[in-house]
Amino acid sequence: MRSLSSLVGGAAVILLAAGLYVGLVASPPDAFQGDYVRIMYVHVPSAFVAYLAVGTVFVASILYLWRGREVYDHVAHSAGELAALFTALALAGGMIWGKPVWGTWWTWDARLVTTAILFLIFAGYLLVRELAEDRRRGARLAAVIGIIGALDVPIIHYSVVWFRTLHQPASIVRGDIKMAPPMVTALMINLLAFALLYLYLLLQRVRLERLEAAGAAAGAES
Amino acid sequence: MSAWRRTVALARKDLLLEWRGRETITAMAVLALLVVLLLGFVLGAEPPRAPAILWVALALAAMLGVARPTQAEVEQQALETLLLYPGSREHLYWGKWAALTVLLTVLLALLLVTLGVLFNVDLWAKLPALFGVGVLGIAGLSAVGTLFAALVIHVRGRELLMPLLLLPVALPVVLGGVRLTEAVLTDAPGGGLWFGMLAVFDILFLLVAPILYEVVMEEA
Amino acid sequence: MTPAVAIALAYTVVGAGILIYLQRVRRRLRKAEADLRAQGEPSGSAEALTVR
Repeated sequence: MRSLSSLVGGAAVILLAAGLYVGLVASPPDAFQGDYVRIMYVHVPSAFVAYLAVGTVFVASILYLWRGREVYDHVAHSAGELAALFTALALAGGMIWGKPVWGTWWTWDARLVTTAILFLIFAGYLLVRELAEDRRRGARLAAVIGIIGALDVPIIHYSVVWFRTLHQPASIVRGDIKMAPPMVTALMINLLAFALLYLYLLLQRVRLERLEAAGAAAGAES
Repeated sequence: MSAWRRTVALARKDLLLEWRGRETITAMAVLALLVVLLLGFVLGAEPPRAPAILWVALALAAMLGVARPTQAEVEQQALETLLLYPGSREHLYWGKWAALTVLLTVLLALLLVTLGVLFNVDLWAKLPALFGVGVLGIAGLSAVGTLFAALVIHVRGRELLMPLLLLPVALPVVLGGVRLTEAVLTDAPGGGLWFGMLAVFDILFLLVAPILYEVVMEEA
Repeated sequence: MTPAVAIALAYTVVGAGILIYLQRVRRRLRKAEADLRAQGEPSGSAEALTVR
């Protein structure tokens, strides 16, 4: 278990270094965005990992309620924390990109709004765990919120997209960016690196959860 | 007792309780009226603004009342007794859902009349359609709301958590309600899409929430 | 904002967010391991305890 985690961690570090090099140095500036496109190489992977984490919470929550095994809850809790972290990072990256390119920190872009709402849902998810009567109860209640929240994601996304686009043309349109092959490569490397990083963080966090649960159980016995 | 009669009996009991005191509906109506007055005054009371203000007021006022039917059981220590009755807890969910839906529908009726008068919207001819749109949204709102009301019982700071949990999840109801109401008022096309979205929201959560209700209600 | 500033800001924010989180998890891990060892059986390592 620990060697697997070190392996994933090592691979993540190597790929992140490669992604950093390709993204900052080797890849060309974009024809329209110029060098700002380099922000995309951390922003898009952050958003990708956030959705990966939401998916993990969904699956792990269902498995936990169905099978009742502690491991699934540990995975769900860990992924829930990572979902909140990476939605926040994706939002920050998107805003830093938006300021120079769109001229504003925030636009009512569907993806930004959906990500912000997702962040709020998972803030609530973590809060319920924190404030529940006891650990087991918190796990079950959080699983319910995780399932409802994840099911709601596509509906939220489409409702936000349609709300803006069907009524009035969006004031700022993110044009279809045709990406040159080197840029696609840079993005791909970073996506893979972030996916491995996510796996590493998840493994570490699950181990922590397991140790703390064991500590609580041992403390209760003695 | 059949499942249907159980559900009706539970909903009737809750509504009777509410009818005697009328606390929840009064509080919700006053808050909704305040939101309408505030937004109408600050933003300007042009008729096109009415749908947005209607749904924001409805959603915010609903946050006050969503937890009430469930909370009342807890305060009177009646929930344990209810849970002791044999059979599935799903009827408990449907009873609470029905009571909440009726409660919010009354609020909707009050809000529609208020907006018609204050915003000078000519809604009287379209009242059935507007009412239908409202109930469609409310059904979904109470579907999730009833589940969350049972959920926050076991969490410290119950009422504080409710808007935090429910508002983000219920965002599609508000957005869909606003656009569908606009479509009805202006006879504009494009309402079908929103109708579909609200219907999907309702069906999805009315299917899933009763299953999860069992999880929430189970004694740990 | 010049490209250099914006890029530096974005990479710093994302990098710092991840590193701070990892640091926090690591610290709690060490603490949990130490706690387990302190209250554990004479021969029991943290790993042996978690298997239980």
